[in-house]
Amino acid sequence: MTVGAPLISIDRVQKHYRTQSGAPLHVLDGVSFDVRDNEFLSILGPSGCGKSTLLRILDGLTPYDGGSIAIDGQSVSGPGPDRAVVFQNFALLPWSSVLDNVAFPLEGRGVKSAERKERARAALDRVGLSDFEEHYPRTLSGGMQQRVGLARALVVNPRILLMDEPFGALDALTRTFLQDELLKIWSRDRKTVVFVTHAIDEAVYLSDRVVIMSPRPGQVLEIVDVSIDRERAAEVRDTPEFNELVAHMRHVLRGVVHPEEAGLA
Amino acid sequence: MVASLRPIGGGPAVSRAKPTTWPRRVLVLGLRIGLLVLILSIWEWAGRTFGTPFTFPPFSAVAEAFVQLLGGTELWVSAAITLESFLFGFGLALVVGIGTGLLAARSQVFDRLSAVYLRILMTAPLAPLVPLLIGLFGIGLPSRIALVFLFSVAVIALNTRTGIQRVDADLLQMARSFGAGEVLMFRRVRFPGAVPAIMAGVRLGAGRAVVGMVVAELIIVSVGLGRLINVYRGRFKAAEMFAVVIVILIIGVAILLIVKWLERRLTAWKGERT
Amino acid sequence: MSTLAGPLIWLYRHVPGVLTLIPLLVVWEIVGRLDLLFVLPPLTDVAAAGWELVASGQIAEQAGGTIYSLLVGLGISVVAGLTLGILMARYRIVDEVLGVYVDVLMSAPVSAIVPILVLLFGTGGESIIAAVVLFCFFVITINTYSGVKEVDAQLIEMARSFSMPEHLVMRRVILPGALPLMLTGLRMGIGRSVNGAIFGEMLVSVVGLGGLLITFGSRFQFERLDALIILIVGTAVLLMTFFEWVESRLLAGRFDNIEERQA
Repeated sequence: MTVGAPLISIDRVQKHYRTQSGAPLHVLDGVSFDVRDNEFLSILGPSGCGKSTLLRILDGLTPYDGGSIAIDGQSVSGPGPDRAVVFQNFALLPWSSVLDNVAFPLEGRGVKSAERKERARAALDRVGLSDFEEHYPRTLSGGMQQRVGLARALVVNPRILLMDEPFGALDALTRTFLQDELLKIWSRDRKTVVFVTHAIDEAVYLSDRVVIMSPRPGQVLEIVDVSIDRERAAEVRDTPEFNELVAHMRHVLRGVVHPEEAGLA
Repeated sequence: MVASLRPIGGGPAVSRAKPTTWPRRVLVLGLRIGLLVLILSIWEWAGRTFGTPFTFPPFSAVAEAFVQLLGGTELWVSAAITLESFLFGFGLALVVGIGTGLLAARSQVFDRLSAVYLRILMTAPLAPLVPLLIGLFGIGLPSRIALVFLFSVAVIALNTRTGIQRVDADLLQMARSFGAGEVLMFRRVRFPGAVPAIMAGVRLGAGRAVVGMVVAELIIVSVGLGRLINVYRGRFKAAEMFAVVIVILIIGVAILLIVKWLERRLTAWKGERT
Repeated sequence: MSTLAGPLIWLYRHVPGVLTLIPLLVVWEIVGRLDLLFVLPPLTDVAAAGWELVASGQIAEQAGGTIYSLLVGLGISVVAGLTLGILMARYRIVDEVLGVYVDVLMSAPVSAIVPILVLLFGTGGESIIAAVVLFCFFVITINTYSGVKEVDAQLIEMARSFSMPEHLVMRRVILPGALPLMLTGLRMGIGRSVNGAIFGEMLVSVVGLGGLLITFGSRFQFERLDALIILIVGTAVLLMTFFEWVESRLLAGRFDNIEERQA
């Protein structure tokens, strides 16, 4: 399956907040790029560059102030069944079981209880957590909780998966493990993924293309094609091609980021 | 994630030190019992030396009276009557309190309007209202129910309101991102998330309701355990009086233990978080 | 900015509610004039009775007794409560042994013990003082205990690492650190002591403001009763609100919303 035509087009999008003094705070300043169908695209940038805001705008949770965003030709106005989000802090309901958490998105859509459970079980199976149906979030490790979050996003079978620094709250070892898990799960049906991260190696490892953003006001610095073969395994991190890409991106970011504004992997 | 804040009207979170090793446990247990024995012994001695049966009975006399009362029917009947005021008053406070709290969380207007009255009920001494209540409802059950209600309704309402207001914003955003409507959001996110705070309010409310019950018993002396105390006082039976007081204390502690247990059960999903 | 913020925010939240009192007062006047409710004489009559009570000095006379019992009882509770709280927090064995008893007594309705106090101390001021102590001792103890316990252990360690003598550690690290919760305990204690004093007096029914309440009630003198209730409740609420404000000012920035600490 190859990458298709542009599915999401982001055109000169602006977003600003009003500060207490009245002067506007430009979070996004003329951001433009396309996301193609079946593509895994990362948005890479330091903390505070507005990438999470952009993701929320894509999901329709936050309004934007200028430019346009269209998905499959239609303007984005609110959350919809074609998109699902995976959150950095998991956002699992602590009082519900894993199964109920995964089935949650289906509750608002008039799906009957039995069918909800069926589909939730299928989604849990895809992330390898079938044995943990009846567990409660607090008994699971961070990595497992995030897999539940992923299963929940998959259960609605969205066209677009929006992932907001999903591995940011996890330790380095779990992160690498989950990156591989994600690739495995994704490669099955190759949904369109917009993946936000501040970790350069993560962006390169996972994506087809990487959009590098500058810190506030958020602008697109460069869009890099990750030319590595799509069949990736852990060893690819040792290849010169991989490291060249990482070095290049680091270079681009260093040009605009002061050393104090850490957040780079 | 929402930090666990202290409930409104509640005391500080007490992390009690507990003995861990066995020798220590034995020592502590021994000291506890020893302390109890010491106090009871002093009571016994003081009762015999200083008191008369009319004013200060020794511990043995009280113990005897206590056992006798438990055997008879009068105590149980009176206790049942006393508990009636608690059950109805607290039950009403639960319904009105939680309802008010939910409404105040929903509507800012209602919140600001009700804030004054809830504050008054929380901070004012409510015992002065008793003569007023007697004037309104007479000296029977209704006035006692009213007092119990007034004692406990405010703390339940305030904690319910705060509980709903402070639900994790991340979870609300997550639900919205999956297209959940207001009803679903309330049923699966806002309300369950507020349960710990509501239960804290219920626990505090139960404590205050018990106090209200006792105040009502002792000032509106017509029926129940309050009447019993008065009867024994009139007959100069101090030991029996003491025994009834102890019964009231036991009832109060028991109610609170039950509510605390309930609170633990309903917030089991929270896990170890301080 | 922050000096004004507290009272202003308080005002903002409460004024709408306070404003609803005005129509309520009007309704009261009407209800009274129409003689609808036995216990609600016209507001004007109540006000007049209230004025008379204050002017004639009757209130002052009785209030004096109440306030005296309150202050003495509070004083005893503070001294004893602070001591016990600190002891329990500093010496683990005390905590382990006494902890259970303090917890039980905190959750027990100690107001039930007041009749016994009356039996022991008679119908004079002593039993009222004892009632006040009963009501507020435990609250002060527990808040002091928590306050001392929650002092950052690292700070204590730091002080000890500089070989600071124990009493200095207490004075410069522990007590200042425990101050917020101690103040909370004090405020809660004040609130409860008012409750205790009035309740005790109502039970004894011959002394102080509580006695007045019973007297007016039993004689069906509702103008006076209502006036006295308003005076007592009003004063108590204002007093407690004042202390909450003081507390929040003294602890500016250290803790969350003051609303959580009402008692």
